[in-house]
Amino acid sequence: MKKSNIIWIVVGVILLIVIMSFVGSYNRFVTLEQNVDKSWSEVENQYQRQADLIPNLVSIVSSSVSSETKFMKDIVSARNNWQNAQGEMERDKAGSEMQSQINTFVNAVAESYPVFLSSVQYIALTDEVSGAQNRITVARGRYIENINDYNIGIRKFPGNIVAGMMGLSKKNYYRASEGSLNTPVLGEGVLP
Amino acid sequence: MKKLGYWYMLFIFSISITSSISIPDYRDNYVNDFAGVLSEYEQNYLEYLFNIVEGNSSAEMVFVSLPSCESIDSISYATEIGEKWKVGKKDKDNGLVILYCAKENEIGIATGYGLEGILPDSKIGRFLDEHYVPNRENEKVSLGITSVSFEIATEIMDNSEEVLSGRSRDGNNYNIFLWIIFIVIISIGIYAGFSSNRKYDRKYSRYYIRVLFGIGFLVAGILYLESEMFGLLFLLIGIALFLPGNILNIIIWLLIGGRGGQSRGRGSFGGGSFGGGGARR
Repeated sequence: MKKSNIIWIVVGVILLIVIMSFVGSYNRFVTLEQNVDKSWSEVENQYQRQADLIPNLVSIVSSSVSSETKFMKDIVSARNNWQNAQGEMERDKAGSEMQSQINTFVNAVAESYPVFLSSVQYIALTDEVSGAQNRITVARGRYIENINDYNIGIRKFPGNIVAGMMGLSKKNYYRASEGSLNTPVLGEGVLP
Repeated sequence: MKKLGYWYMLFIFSISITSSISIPDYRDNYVNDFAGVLSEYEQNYLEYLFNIVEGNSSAEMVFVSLPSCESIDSISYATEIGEKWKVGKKDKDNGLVILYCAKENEIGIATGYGLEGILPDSKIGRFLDEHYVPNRENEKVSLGITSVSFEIATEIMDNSEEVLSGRSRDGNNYNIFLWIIFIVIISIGIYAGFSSNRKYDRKYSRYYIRVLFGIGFLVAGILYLESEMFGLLFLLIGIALFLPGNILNIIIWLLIGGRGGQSRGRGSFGGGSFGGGGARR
């Protein structure tokens, strides 16, 4: 084979490999972004589940607790704040605050109105609340993991070149301040 | 030097605190009594019970006891165990993990996605209140464990139709399909590659068949760029078929063989996943 032919073939092959890996990176980023979106909507689902429990909580204890009591008003406004929040970070923040307001509520009832602790109905509700809290923790853990995978992916070489061309930028997520959430984030293994 | 040593120790100590909780290694058993809270009879009882449940409804129930749950609450820990051991059938997510933390004297039950319908959190809580807590108050934790396990097992089997029909969260079954196509294309390509001969090729249609397979591989390579590695592999194979000589084909063959495929943890648990539902006492 002529020398120039071989050179052309080699150049062609190299070009082809480069193109293929670019396409591969592009596809991978599409998947990574999709994973983030998918896991975020799961987080939203669980926040919704928790928000739905709040009216039940309020109504069950309203027989003994005035609606003007601070923890009653706080939990209702936390729920409203979450429903009105816009944008992923804001909604995540409002959802986390809703979570901690529920904790405050349950603790306050346990402390000041222990009569409810022997109500089968109330106990069933707190089980649901605690389950919802846990589901939020799991869903957020996966969401954060996906965001990290995405952020790492768009920074690694040679993917970062493609990421730059696609205009992909680092994603952020809401970080609760230390100690404001009582449950650890699964997947990160950070102790409370 | 001494001071350095002190700071180093502090550093290591703070790292070890933030390292992830240790999930016990995967085991095949229904009953994993690491804390030794159950008698041999009770362990056999639960093994037998969970076996029946799986046979009847395909749901996978697992019991684990640990000396301590390292200040993680029992539901979170049970969920992590369920996820790591992949308890529950993959397409049904019908796993259930009962975890007892000896030091904290806490029990947590985590339900897989597929069981959340028949075993909502409040029902699990109620079962615990009715069958576990009274026994624990009487210092009979192991009796509480077997009682509540029986209740849950009964509930699952009473609803076995729903559990069997099951619903899963992701439809990843098309992977098998992709694998079959992959193997077929590889086989055809390798056959074409190995059974070729240069001089012969150019004269007869064998050459064109080779070109065709080469193109086929390049196209397959583009299609399979879902997974970068596969895409590049196919690309190399396609190139090899265009180029003369069988040596390149042998190299490709070795490459494929060398991949082996990612091995997933295999065992008798089905691959189910957990969402975080359940209750604890």
